Amino acid sequence: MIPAAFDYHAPGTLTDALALLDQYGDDAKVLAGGQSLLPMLKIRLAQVGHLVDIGRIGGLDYIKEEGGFLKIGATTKEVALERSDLIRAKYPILIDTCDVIADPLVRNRATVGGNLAHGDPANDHPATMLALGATVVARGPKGERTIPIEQFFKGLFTTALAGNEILTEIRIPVPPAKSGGAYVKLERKVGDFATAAVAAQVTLGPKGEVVKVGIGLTAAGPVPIKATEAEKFLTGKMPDGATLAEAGALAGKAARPTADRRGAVDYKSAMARILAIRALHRAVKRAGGQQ
Amino acid sequence: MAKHKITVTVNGTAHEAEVDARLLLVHLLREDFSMTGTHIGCDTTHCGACTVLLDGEPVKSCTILAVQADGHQVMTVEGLEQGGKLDPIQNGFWQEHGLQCGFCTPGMMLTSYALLKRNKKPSEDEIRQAISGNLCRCTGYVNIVKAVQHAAAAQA
Amino acid sequence: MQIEKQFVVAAPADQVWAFLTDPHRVAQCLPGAALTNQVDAQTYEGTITVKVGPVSSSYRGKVRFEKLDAASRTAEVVASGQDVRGKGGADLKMTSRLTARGPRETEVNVVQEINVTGILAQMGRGMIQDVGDQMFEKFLAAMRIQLEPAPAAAPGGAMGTPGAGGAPPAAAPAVEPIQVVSFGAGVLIRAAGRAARNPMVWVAVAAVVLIVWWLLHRS
Repeated sequence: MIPAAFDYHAPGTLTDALALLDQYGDDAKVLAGGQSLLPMLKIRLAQVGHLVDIGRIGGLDYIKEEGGFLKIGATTKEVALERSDLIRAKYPILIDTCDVIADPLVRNRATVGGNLAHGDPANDHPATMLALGATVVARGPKGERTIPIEQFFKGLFTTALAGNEILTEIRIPVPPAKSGGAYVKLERKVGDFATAAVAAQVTLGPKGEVVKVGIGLTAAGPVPIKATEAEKFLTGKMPDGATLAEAGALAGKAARPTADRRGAVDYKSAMARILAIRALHRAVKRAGGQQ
Repeated sequence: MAKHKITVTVNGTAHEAEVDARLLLVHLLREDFSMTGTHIGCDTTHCGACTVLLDGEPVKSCTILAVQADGHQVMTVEGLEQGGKLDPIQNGFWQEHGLQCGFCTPGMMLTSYALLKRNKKPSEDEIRQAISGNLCRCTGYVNIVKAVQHAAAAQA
Repeated sequence: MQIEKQFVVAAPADQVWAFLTDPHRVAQCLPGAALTNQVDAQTYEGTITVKVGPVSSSYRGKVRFEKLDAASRTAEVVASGQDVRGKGGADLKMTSRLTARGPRETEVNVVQEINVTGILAQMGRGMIQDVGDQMFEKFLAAMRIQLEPAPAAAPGGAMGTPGAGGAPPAAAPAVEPIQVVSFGAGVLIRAAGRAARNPMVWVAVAAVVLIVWWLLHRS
């Protein structure tokens, strides 16, 4: 299938890209890796008048730790995260996430920024970024602003980005010592969207109690979901089996999935609970220094 | 809608074309450049039959616009054979019966070719991971894995 | 697919009924909805464009009001529409009932039966409910602005006695496009009977659900 006709622009600078978005307004869409957008255009589920390809803008793909943050440039490809020694060593939750995003071929093109900006609750990075408490950096005609990830996802395919803004960077606070995270996904086959998936990031205190926890749910509602009740429950408690089971149950209750061929509502919610427990166990284990 | 003049280097040779913005890379290769070794399997970015190497990395050419490949290097299955000699990966697929209908094979071979460039001695798990974006309806993947192992051994 | 919705409006049942059967007032709450043609006393044609991110669909359809019973405040609406770009279509039967729960409280119960055809029916309907819910919420919010007493006097909207909610203040603010979607079309409605009342709201709800259904797909 072939997309409906559109105009294509490949600006060389962010300023030019922003000017184009401003000019064409609602009729324009940013193209990064295109691994979510192009399939929609090909079956004509989506139409766009102008594609603004930001793939030729330099300086937007990087992975670095700076000023207490892990900073990932928006056009950083998923495969770059997977191959980064820094990420493999210090952020296994991101490796967990990358490993289950589509398949290796898609990951050679797909970008981390696109995975967030597309606004699909079934994409995998949103839940992980919710668990990590990330911040999104957006550049617009008036300059730069930061958006906390909890405020970023507004609805299906809709984020807090204005039509004339481009997501340029994702910032993750470098977790303190005794922190660990994991992402666990249930899918029918490699490359599928999640039937259910959970990201969990914990920090343990001196006695081994949970001092900080973030839990994000994928494909569990119209937007990626932060399981705040489960987080509140778990904070301050020792992460023994019964406590994690309770936290997982609360996370499962936060899920409000819709039924489709991947499963009925109660099945998906039940899986969210199970995966939350598994993700929490793995995160706690990693926080304790074991893998 | 305006046409775009692009230059794409395919298997080492620069090709020029004037294309619609919406032309997919797979159609550029098959229709404009008459290289039909790259196949179209699903059109929904699932099957990987359309796999080519873009700047050395295996990608699904049905999910890339031709204009995005402007100025870049593409390798298709036609580029595996060099000077009448089969690439070890092709030989491996031949020797190990790594294909039946052959529809997925160009994609499988290019993905494996790229794998062996990065990882000379992949484990079975690494091979299966690497080809997890390429679907095969005939073989059950067993002989495909053997074909890649054959090629790895031949290149050792 | 059957969807049931229930909501409460802080306004007398008569006013809610009057509102819901007034096509123009209801259309105000559906940004982008437009009536293009009145076929007969009970049928309207219209179009609606819904945009969710990069996904937009334009529908043209007809709504027919099968039953309109002012006494029991029950309405049955039948709607059908086609995507103008050939993406598919949908049929909807919607039954709605208003119940007065108090002098200024009305409960509205809506039951919808929807049938979707075409590419959108094949493509993952999982998200349809999600977007439908969101659109419904936005519509409700817009409707509440019209019906429920404003916290302070509407600017320039001298509308007679306090508490009179019969008609929206003259200076009613334009309803902002629904966050998720921006409507740009009209919905077909079929007005029933003498009252020249049109259950736009039910049609709107139906249209919303239809649109949502068409919009989302997942492979």
